[in-house]
Amino acid sequence: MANGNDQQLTILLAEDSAPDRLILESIVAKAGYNAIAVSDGLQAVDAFTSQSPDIIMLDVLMPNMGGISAAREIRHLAKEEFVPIIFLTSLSDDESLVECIEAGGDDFLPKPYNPVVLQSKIKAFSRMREMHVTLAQQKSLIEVHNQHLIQEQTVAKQVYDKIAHSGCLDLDIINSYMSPLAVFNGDVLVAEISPSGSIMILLGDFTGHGLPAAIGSMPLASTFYGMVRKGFSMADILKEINLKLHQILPIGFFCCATCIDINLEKRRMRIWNGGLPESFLYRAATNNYEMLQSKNLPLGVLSEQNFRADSKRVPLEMGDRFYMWSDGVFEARNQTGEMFGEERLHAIMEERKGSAKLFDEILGQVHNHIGESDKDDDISLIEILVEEFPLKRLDEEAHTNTKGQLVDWSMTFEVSETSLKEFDPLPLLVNIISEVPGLKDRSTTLYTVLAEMYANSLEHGVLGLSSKLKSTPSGFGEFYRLKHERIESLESGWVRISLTHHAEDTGGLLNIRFQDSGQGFNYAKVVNVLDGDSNQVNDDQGSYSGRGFSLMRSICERITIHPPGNDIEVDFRWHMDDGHD
Amino acid sequence: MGEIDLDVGMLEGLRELLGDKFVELINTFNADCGARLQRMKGGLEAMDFELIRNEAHGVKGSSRNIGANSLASLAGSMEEKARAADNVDMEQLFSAIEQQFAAVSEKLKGLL
Repeated sequence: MANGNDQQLTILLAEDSAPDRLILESIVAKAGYNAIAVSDGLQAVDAFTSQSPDIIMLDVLMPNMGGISAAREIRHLAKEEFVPIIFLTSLSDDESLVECIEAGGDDFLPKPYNPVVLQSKIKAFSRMREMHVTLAQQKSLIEVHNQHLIQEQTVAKQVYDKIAHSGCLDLDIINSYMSPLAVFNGDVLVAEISPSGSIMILLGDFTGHGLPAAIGSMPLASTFYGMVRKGFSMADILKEINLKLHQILPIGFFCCATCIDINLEKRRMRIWNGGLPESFLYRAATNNYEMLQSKNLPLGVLSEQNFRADSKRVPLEMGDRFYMWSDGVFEARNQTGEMFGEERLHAIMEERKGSAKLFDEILGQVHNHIGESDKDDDISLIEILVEEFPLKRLDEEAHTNTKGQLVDWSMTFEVSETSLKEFDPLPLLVNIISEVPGLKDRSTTLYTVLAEMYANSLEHGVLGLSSKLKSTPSGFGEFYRLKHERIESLESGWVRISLTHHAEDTGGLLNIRFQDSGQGFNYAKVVNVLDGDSNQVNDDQGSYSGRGFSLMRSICERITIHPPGNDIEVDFRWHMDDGHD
Repeated sequence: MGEIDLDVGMLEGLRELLGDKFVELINTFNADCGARLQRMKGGLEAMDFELIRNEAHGVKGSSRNIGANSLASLAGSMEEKARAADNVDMEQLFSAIEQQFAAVSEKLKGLL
């Protein structure tokens, strides 16, 4: 009669009348359950503690302890566990049925005991108990998961705060507001001062909500801070962030962003906007706004090749104010679901034009609009005041003291005959040089210098080829044929490259020296070129190409040729601000 | 005195359910109810309504379970009276219960 599961059920029976107890026990046992029969409430409580029955049946009136007290005691002992209690009494009896239920009873079983009714009740309660056990297990599982989740979020928030709030958002000229919810809704706001004294600020809004949206802000923030501190340009930073996000974000996920680079000293700003609402630039002189609109696709959409980091240069005047926000501001909803709206925001902008309280006014009105229903609150709002402001430059820290960054260094690199045949040392050298932030921006120029010097050392020095050959079109062919031939048959030879970099206040000095195993040449002629006396140096066999020297002369500060001409040294000086404006 | 109302069908069901233990059931019923009536008698002498009520309740339940419906009904009346602390005709009611029990007991023994 009983199925496999039921067989393990233990039923506690508390009944003081011996014949009734006998009948009950027989019904329960015959149905295949394990019956524990006791004759009063005290014994019932003891049996509950010692034998953990699955279902309990209690007579109401029993000596020593009645069923109602026993039920209360058992409920107390069982705590969270659900143990069904069935009172053995007829509904027509005058015991207080209400009292039975209040004491923790789940059902009643009238006398005379009916085996069919009794078994069906046991089955029903056994199922209920199973469900309850499952539910309790799931509940505790959910609790564990939830605790885990909260713990993870706490840790994530700590990590996030460390990364995202390590910048210069606390500067007096920056007013920013980010609602706590916004962080995990995918808004990100980072600001840092670059070594050249520019304030870089990036406001981003990732698509979607919750963790998937928030997770992208980590690589964004760490890339931003890492690169700004090393002095990379806004274009380089945006390219790098775009590349990272393009690689890591799934299709359809991206980051709308506005990035600005404000240089108060130079009174100019660069702005790049991809997908965020237009920014407002308040012009103190005309008491009007200049709108700075989005022209680009958001970060993470385009591949490295297609991404355009072109920024707009905007001159600034003292007293100007810059405003930007994420669309959370006008998407903020009130209790009836109505959005704050772009119009309302623009109306405040107009009404409070030029007011020092505009920022607070916007925030106040948005919060008033939201009222108590702040579940949609993911507002990010930034105001930047263009004022005389003594910026504590990060130059020295960032430029000369930052660990893990090449500042003062030197290296010597020798390429010998076997490597000269197959190995091109230029990418490696450019890569090393690019570790100096200021030099990375100039790597194309430096590549030209290195390529010219390496070619000279190899072709004219090690291989002893004459540059004269290159003066006629047919000579070019001959030149390359000879070059190939001599490289193939080269038995010994080397080119030694020495690089020395020294940091200076606003940049640095890179000394590049090429030595080779060649014979040298009549360098007196070259010196003339260097002095500007002549551009013709290629009348001697084995001499350098005059064109190459004029090029180097235009790039490098100093060119020294050590006798007998197989040892050339150039100085390349660079400044932070070169090429940035 | 009245009729002896004993549900024979129910008793046959119990015999089937209990098997060998049916004898034990009959003996236990007779002993248990006999003891309850003894205690009820003491309660009547001492006018202990609580005691009378509990014992009457026990006799009622056991009688129902065994199919002795007339005895159960008499015991139920006694339980009611005791609950209401109404001692009018309690003695007579008790006598009726005693006689009914004696008859039921005899009849049950006959089933063995």
